[in-house]
Amino acid sequence: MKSGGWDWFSLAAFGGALALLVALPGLWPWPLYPRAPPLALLAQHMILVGLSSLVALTVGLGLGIAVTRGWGRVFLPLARTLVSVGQAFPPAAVLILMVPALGFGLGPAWVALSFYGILPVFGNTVEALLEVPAATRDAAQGLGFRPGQVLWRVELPLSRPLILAGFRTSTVVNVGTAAIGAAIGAGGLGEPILSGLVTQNNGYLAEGAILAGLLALTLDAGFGLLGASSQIQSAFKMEK
Amino acid sequence: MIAFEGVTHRYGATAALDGIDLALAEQELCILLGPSGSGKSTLLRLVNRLLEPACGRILVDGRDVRSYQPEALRRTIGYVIQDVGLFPHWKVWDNVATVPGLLGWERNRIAGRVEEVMDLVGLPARTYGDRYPHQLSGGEAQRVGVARALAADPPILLMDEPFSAVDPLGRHRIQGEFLEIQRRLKKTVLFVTHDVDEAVRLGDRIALLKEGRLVQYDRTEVLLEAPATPFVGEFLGLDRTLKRLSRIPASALARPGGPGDGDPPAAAALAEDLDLRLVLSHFLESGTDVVPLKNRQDRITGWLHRQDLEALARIGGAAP
Repeated sequence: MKSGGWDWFSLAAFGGALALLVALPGLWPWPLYPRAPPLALLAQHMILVGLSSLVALTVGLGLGIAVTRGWGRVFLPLARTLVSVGQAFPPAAVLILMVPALGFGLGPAWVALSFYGILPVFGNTVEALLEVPAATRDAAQGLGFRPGQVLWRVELPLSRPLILAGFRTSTVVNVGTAAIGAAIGAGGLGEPILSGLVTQNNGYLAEGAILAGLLALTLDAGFGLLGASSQIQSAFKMEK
Repeated sequence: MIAFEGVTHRYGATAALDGIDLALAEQELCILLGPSGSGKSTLLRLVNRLLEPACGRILVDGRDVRSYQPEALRRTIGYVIQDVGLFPHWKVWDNVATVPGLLGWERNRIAGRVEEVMDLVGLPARTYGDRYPHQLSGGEAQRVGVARALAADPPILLMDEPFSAVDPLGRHRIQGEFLEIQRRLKKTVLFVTHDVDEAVRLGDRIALLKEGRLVQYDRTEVLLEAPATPFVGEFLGLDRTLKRLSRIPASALARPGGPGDGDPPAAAALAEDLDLRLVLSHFLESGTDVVPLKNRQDRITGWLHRQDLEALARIGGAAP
């Protein structure tokens, strides 16, 4: 894992650049997309990504926990198959498939992004929980932890780094996928990109692309900090 | 304290345990000994309800374990396993404090008890409390495992091959330390092992299992002296007489009078707490027939005659 210092630097650099570029549109050396200010586009984009990541985390984590409990184990092979099939779909295809089902707009994009974001969270949650050493779980049970306490106090803390890594992938990938969402009318930073492509205006295109890129890098650095600052992770690695 | 009555357990169609009747004496260390697959771990895990029997019942303190709420039962029974299972994300201190914490003890009481029990296993909390499990050696980790099991002062300890993963030298030491602790605390211990030497060294009684059945259950000396079946004799080994001697201190055979007058120099004497197996080895090596014994203060306390030792050995030697 990278050192915390590098992540702090990345977070400050990318986050700072992003903030400057949306707060002071005058900094841009070329004319910007006229229909919405960069701040509004970024806000829209972040809301879309944030809402879908929230769903992805809740559902992915919940499902991952469910299929690793005694009573849910029967669904584990099925769930794993679904994950690998789901991840084989390109994100754009998932988005486009939403249109005949749900129509255009923010809603269908949100559903598609949520669905796509569930997969890495779910996959990593399952792998992490299965990696908790059997002896640790046995000891927890044998000492008198209730099943819920085994999960909250032992299994989830030990799984945190891997689950976080899944959430990181899910969120960062969704920043990019959300840009494609503009094609089905979801708004956000994909709007100037799309408009730039259609009107052959590289300025609009660059505006959307640069801001989306900076957002992804900022979030990635933020997640890196969350992961790297965890003592648990190094302890767990050594144990194995 | 612990009793098994007609206990049968199955994994699928195969019976892992078949009609086990076994009663443990209070404050004694009972070894569950047997080859792998004999069902000894299964038997142990039935006591704290990590497994449930297909038939029969298990009594703890005269009560069927099924009448206890499982977690409440487990918090009153110490549990030590081969792979230790320390929580890798918790410091040693927090690991040891686990069960008192679950029982809702006050902060001060927990702190006092953690210190006490860590001193008991020879790892002072000041030095070791802040370490993480990955910073401990195998032997230290297992001592912490024992401390964690003893933290809430349970009357019963379940130990599933607790020292098997420790290297041989460390194992011998930790066994000795554990014997000392057991002599002081007098817990009722159920101890699983496949290591005959460990069983002989630690066990007040040994229950020998084979393919899910109880073959013999006796005091360790009796088992070594009179194996009930050829399997028992074979499993204990051809050197079982030596093993029996290894449980008896030299002082048990000490006689007051020596061959000559006056006390011999302490240098020629053996420590009286040496076991008889080592004394026999001394006789074989030196070719002598009598040896003086000394106490820790180098005072001669008596004489041990070779013929006494051989007579003692022969009682068992006559058995098949």
